Amino acid sequence: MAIIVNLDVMLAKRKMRSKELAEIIGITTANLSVLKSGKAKAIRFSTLEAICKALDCQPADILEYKQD
Amino acid sequence: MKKFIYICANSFFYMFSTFFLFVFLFSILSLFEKYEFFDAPFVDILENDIDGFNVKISIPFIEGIVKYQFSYTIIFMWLWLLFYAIFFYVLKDFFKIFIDNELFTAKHLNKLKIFFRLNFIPIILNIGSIVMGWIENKKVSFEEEYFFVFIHTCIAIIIYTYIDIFKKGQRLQEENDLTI
Repeated sequence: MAIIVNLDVMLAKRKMRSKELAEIIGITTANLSVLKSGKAKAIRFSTLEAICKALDCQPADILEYKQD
Repeated sequence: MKKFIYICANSFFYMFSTFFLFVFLFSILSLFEKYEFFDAPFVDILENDIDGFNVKISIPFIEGIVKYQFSYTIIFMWLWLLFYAIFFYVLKDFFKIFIDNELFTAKHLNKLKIFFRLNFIPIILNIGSIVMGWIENKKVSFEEEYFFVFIHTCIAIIIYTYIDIFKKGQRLQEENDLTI
């Protein structure tokens, strides 16, 4: 997929665990894992907003476009 | 309503399987009776029957009668009854799909495919018997065969539409599940 999720990078930068982030934004760790692995088909604005708020970052820090 | 249809299909399954077991068991017993080993209940050996049948099985409660010959045709009768017992079992499973909470799953799609394929058996067999009748120039009417071909073709078309809807539904369900 051309959209790459850099959630791992941001989590490492903020020194936060996946479980902790999942609890803050209110999704399951399984769903967060789906998002991190790039298997997700779509992301809701509300989820993106919650991630940005929790990690104090911009959507562009999490999502990146790379041509196939 | 969905539950009611499911119960109806379930009842049909039990009725057909009981009927099949009854006919199967007593048609085997009729063979023993023919050779005078013992007198089986509900079974009468016929002599000089107008239609050429050798045995009559009386079905209790519904006052029904099943007549047949002592030949390989009895196997077709067993298979016919066994097929409809299986058919109603799969039909029961088909209606169960609509009662379940999650509708568009791979398991349900497989059940629909099985039911779809099952309808081809009577279609092929009945067309085969009509064609054989034409080839052998038999002067018998095939009203029953045409009826079964028509009914099972209609069911197969409806199920095919359902399969298509379920495939699209499954794709949407997958997308929805993977929307975080």
